Amino acid sequence: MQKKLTLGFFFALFVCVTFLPIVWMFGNSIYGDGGFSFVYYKDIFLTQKYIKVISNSLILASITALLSSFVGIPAGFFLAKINLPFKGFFKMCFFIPLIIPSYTTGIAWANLLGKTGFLNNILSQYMLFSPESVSNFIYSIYGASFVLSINLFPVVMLITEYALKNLNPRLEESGLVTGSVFRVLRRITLPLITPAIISSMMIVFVLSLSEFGIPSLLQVNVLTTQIFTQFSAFYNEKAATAIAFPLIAITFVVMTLEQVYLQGKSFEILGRRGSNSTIKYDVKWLNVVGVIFCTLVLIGCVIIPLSTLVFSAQTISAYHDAILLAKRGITNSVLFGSIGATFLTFMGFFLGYLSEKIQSRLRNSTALFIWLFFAVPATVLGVGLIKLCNRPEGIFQFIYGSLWIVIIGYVARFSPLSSRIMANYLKQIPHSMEEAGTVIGASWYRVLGNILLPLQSHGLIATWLISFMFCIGEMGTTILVYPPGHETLPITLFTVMANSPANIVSALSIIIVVMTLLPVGVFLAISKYLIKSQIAQ
Amino acid sequence: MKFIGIALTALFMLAKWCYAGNEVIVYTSEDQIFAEPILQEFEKKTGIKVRAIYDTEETKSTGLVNRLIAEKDNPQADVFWSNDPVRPVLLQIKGLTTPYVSSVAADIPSIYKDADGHWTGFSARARIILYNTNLVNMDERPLSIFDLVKPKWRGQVAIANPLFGTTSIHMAALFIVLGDEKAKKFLNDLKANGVKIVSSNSEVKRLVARGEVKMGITDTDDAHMAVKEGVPAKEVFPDQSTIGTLIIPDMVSLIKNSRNQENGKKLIDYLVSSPVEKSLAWVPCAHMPLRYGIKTPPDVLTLDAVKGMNINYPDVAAKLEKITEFLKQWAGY
Repeated sequence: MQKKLTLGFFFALFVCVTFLPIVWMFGNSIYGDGGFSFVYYKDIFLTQKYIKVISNSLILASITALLSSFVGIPAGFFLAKINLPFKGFFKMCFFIPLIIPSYTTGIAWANLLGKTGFLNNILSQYMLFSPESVSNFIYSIYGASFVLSINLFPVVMLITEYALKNLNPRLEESGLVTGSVFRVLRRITLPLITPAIISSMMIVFVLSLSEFGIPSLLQVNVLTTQIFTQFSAFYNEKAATAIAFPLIAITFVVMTLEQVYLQGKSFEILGRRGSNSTIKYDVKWLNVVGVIFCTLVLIGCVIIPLSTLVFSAQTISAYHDAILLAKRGITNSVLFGSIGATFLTFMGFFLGYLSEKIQSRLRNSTALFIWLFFAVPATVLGVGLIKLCNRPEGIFQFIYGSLWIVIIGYVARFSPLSSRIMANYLKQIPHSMEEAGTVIGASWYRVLGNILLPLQSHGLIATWLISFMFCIGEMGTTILVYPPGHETLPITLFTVMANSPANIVSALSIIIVVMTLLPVGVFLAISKYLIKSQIAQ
Repeated sequence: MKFIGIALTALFMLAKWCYAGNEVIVYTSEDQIFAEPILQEFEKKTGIKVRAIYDTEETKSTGLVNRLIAEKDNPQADVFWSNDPVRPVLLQIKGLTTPYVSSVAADIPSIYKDADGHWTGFSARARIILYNTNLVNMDERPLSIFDLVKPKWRGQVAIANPLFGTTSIHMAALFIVLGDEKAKKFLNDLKANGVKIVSSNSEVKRLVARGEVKMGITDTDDAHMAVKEGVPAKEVFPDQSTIGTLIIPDMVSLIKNSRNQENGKKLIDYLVSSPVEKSLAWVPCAHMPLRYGIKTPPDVLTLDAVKGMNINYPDVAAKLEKITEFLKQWAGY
């Protein structure tokens, strides 16, 4: 009963917060003037132009997912599995690309690779590229994928790292006794974290599908720029919502393919000991490769874009001015981000459980149902939330006029993401563990508190961290619903970006990085301490 | 049970209740760094708390309009302060504004005001050509937007996406002044000459400043900011001996059925007043006062020194709706 009530409560919450506003928008897009009409949908499926736009979106998302994996999987592996010097430093630095607003990263790379850019000069002088070809690259679908993959590789990295930490060391130990590191990697380690890798690639794929800032800046015509055009040039929310439909359809297909691929395979590898200890590959050449790889990623994905911001900020007074502008945004972002991430971790855990652990034929459909809404663009969701929550009645007025509408926006946007991450970790816990607790008569809350949650401490940390960083960076929905005085840091950045001196804008971007990394560092330190004391017990 | 009680109390304590009483809520697409000091001054003078929401560069002044439209049934904003003259007309057409004729604006020329009081203009920007002085000599600088289709500037001109912001209004005004055929020909020639279509006016400024293009069409505020930042760039008010350039006044509207109508009217009276026009002329956005006789800095022209296009804003709004599909195709969307 406890289990049913709890899972039912979180599912109902998901339906109210995410499902209803989106369904409201889609309902509205097919209903008008007293009848149903599919005119906007016909346009999408019957117009040649949209085929090109949809294929652009698919190319952008696929290349981004692949490039992010090329960087993120090895980075996650080296962080989890070798004795990497300055591991904490590398890890914190690798969060930075995810934190810097994608639009800002885009401008940094456009400056570097544009016709008169520093890197363009180097590439055209020493690598025989013409300045035009380098500039054309950055203003193309491939350039957009390149910038987006720099932004999103930390998602793959983080999910891979914590999946590796969840592995039962006995499996790898026994492999290492008889085989080489390569063999263990290929035959044991990588296959066991396959769902985590596929899941992270899918997350990046869907995030790229629904990304607007980079394609807009680099003038790439994709579904999200079409949606923006319908909203902002035609003020036609029905057409804009209809164009979001292919995003959901693509997500449905990708998710179904993933389920087919993983069907019948078991990934239940987590044991009580396994959750708390990770075997390291102490091989010299692997350590060297790890250091070189992580340094190159650090230079390419972190130092280069960050240094353009630092150089552009120029003076200390720019930081002072930026802090004055962002004072309220800093407090709001940290507060809203922490509350949002905590809610999302809870939601993610229970929705993940629902889509992974319940003994029902509906399990796969539940997972699909929850995940589908992640592809819906932030603007569509934001307008849906306004329609649903902006009402004169007391409770709605209270929610719409306070920080809770921002938190609801976060939960609505990212609960499919957090549930997907948690489901992927929950896959690793054998059913027998929970059953053992139930057999001895423990209540479900007790099983939860004493078995499931402690076993998933790594999963919970990864989910909170990713959720926090996404909440802090969220702008598309927040900009449409935040009440006066509740602006967050990205909103402050983008509102002052218009006509503020470039050095203040750059200083503000750096403040966003610092203000996100600080709570992340504190959270990591606390969670590390808690896990250590858990082991000591 | 105790835990749930504590959690609920904490949740409610964290929430800030809406400010009741003496307040006014304003949505503004004017840049925050220029609008905020003016709103703070209003607070000081009247004691009325101003709660503002600003638009972002990324949403190009249309984010707030979408929000106002979505909130129509239960409006949160009392006043919409727009940094362009077409969105307030659009809101009027959609039935979101309510008339208020401010007596303070009596000396503002009538072409900048709606006769019924749905919108009132003040402080204007203008469309200009911004050119990089390191790459273009003073003698060869273009004096007309029609010069931009000349082969010598092939691939050297940038313009913001004409579907959004002041560029869209500029295009609609050109269609009115030139007629559809000539305007389409101009745009097609511009495209054939390799014009670079970018995401926003500030992106035009960035590309001109970095010398990635030699010139671009943008607004006076971008040009003034570029000069203030030490960028090697100058502005040209185009077509001063022919059709003139587009004048873009800020406009303010009272939102229908909002909660603080009286405070909203007071804010409108303040925004359209001479001191605010003067303030906006002396900050880096360098707006031109619509009233004659307001002292401006030497580098900020007054409206009597600039030839504006002969248009009226409701016609521009109507034209924009008609040509948006063409602009969409032209921009490759």
